[in-house]
Amino acid sequence: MATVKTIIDLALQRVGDEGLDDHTRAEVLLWIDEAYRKAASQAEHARTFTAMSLPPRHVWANTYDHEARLSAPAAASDITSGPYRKFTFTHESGKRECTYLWEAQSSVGETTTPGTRSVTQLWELSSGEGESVQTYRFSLNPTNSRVLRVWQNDRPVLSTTRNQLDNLFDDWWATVGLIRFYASSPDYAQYDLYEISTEYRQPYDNIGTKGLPTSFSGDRTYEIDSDTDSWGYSYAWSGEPQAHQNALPGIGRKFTFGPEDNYHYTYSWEGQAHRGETVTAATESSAVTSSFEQPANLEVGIPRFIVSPDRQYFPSPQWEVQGIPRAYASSDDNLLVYHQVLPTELVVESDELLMIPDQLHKYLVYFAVAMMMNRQGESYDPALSGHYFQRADRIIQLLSRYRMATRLNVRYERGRTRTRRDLAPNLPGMPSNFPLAPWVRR
Amino acid sequence: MRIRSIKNRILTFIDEDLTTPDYITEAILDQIITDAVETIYEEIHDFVTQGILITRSGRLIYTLRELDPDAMMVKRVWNQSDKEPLRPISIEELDGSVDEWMRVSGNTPQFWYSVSHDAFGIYPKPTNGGDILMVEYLKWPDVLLADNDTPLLKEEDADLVVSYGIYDALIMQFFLDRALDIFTSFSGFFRDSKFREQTRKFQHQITERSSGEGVRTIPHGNG
Repeated sequence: MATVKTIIDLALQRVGDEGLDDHTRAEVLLWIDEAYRKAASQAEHARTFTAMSLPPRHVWANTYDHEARLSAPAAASDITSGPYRKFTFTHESGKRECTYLWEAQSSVGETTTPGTRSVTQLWELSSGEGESVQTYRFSLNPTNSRVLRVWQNDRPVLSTTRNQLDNLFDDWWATVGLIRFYASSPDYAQYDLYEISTEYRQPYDNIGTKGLPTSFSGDRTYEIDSDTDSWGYSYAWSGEPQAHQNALPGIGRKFTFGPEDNYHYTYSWEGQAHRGETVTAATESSAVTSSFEQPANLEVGIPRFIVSPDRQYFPSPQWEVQGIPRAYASSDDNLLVYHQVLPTELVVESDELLMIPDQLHKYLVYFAVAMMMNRQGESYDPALSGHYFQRADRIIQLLSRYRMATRLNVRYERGRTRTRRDLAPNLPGMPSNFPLAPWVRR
Repeated sequence: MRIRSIKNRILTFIDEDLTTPDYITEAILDQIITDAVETIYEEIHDFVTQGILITRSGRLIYTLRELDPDAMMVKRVWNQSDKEPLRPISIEELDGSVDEWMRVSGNTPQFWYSVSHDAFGIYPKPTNGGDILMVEYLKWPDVLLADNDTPLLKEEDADLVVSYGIYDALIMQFFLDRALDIFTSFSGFFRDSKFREQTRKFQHQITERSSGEGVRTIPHGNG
């Protein structure tokens, strides 16, 4: 696949500035990034599914609006990146932020009204009591451009507006029940849900806080599909490889379960005994420490796909399956959002533009050339620049067409001719000599 | 028309030496011809090829990359195992017709829908995988550029490559007026080619036996 470097080279070649006398690679890179984002936003072609847990999760909560400027991550470990939620209400000419409504009353010397509830994160609604005055709102990550459809537990959630909800329902933001509608929030970056569901759900939970997820367990049965079926050594306790200063040969395999409260156990009944449960006979076979005893596929490396006969595990977004999958979600009893996405990170020369096929990169070249020729300098040529802009816009029509494959494919047929009998039922008929009602004039 | 002939015609028109061109080098010519063929494929939806996807149990969505990395757009999906076409539909129609359609599984898929520019889905999801889906799709060409190769176009459309190549070469030399004249003639040729494509389609429709289908219905439950 061609990289951004190739596109820059082609653009500079087209204006005859391979020597970078008039333009720099950095500015051409910016124009290509602009063309890439413009194509994705206007063609609306890149769409994906995102599953989200209920209540909606936010990475962080802010008190003041200015904190939102911190949402651009300074480093990969920056916790202020990701969707955020302002849980306070601004009052007193923007000088104060209140968490509870009574604080606003108290600050102006009025009698306070108790009873409302405030939460920092919406999942806190699953514990405690009281009606919340904050809207039940979900946010998508910055790649989101436009939400197209929403499902809750695979049932459609219909689109509406806050005005309609205001006109139809009292306290709609606090009514607990089946989620039926979603509406854009005032800033159009988040979406309010009606009705709300306070029950805490988390389909997938990370055990441990470091590294990459390599094994799965839970109500469903997971099996490993791996080519690695032998290992160099076995260990019982998680810290043993480090204790041997990682000098043991090959891959190590932990043959015990746990830890649970720092307790590792070989058979399931030991875990039951440790937890104080009724001990039942072990269902697993004897513990295997060496691969010659019983080969077993090891969970080695990064999970790249999950296959099930009952459901599909879908990478989101599907064209950027790179790096380590960090988060897993399920639409089962949770939200599934079908939305249009945009590229958000500024491209670099080594990037491959995965949202646009290689064969359409020439239109990004045309855009960059148009910008170069639209600028005062040796290659300044406004007429030629205008022509290149026209050529560059073609990518939007092409990508729009590609995402509408089924709409373009509908075969229209002439329907059968509809007679008057088909349009309306016959009126009851009376004989001509039937006496008229007094109020009917002949 | 062979690639060498196309290149020679382009160079001749723009007054470049055939063996040692000054400005439009061989590498640039290769790029120009690649762009020309790709542009023609984008505009004339007459170049359709077939691929195979095997359905998987429980799986709804398939990407074009699994089918062919050069696939442009799906045109038609046919279940070869069942010898039935999958009818095109949209996610909106499925939402409006079937409750929890993502959970519905069936013996054979009956509809297909567009998810994104590079992914499509089938409904219902297969209970058991293994069905062969014949997918007809538009594809970008592998552009072969050796001198004796020919572009994968109908011979009567080969002139389009020359026209576009001349236009592109002139544009790269900043001769906008002359380039626009050529581009207009390219568009004219292109309209003729599209006319031929549409005529072929129209003729095909006239002779096609009517399927006799009336209102489209969507079955609910296991197929």
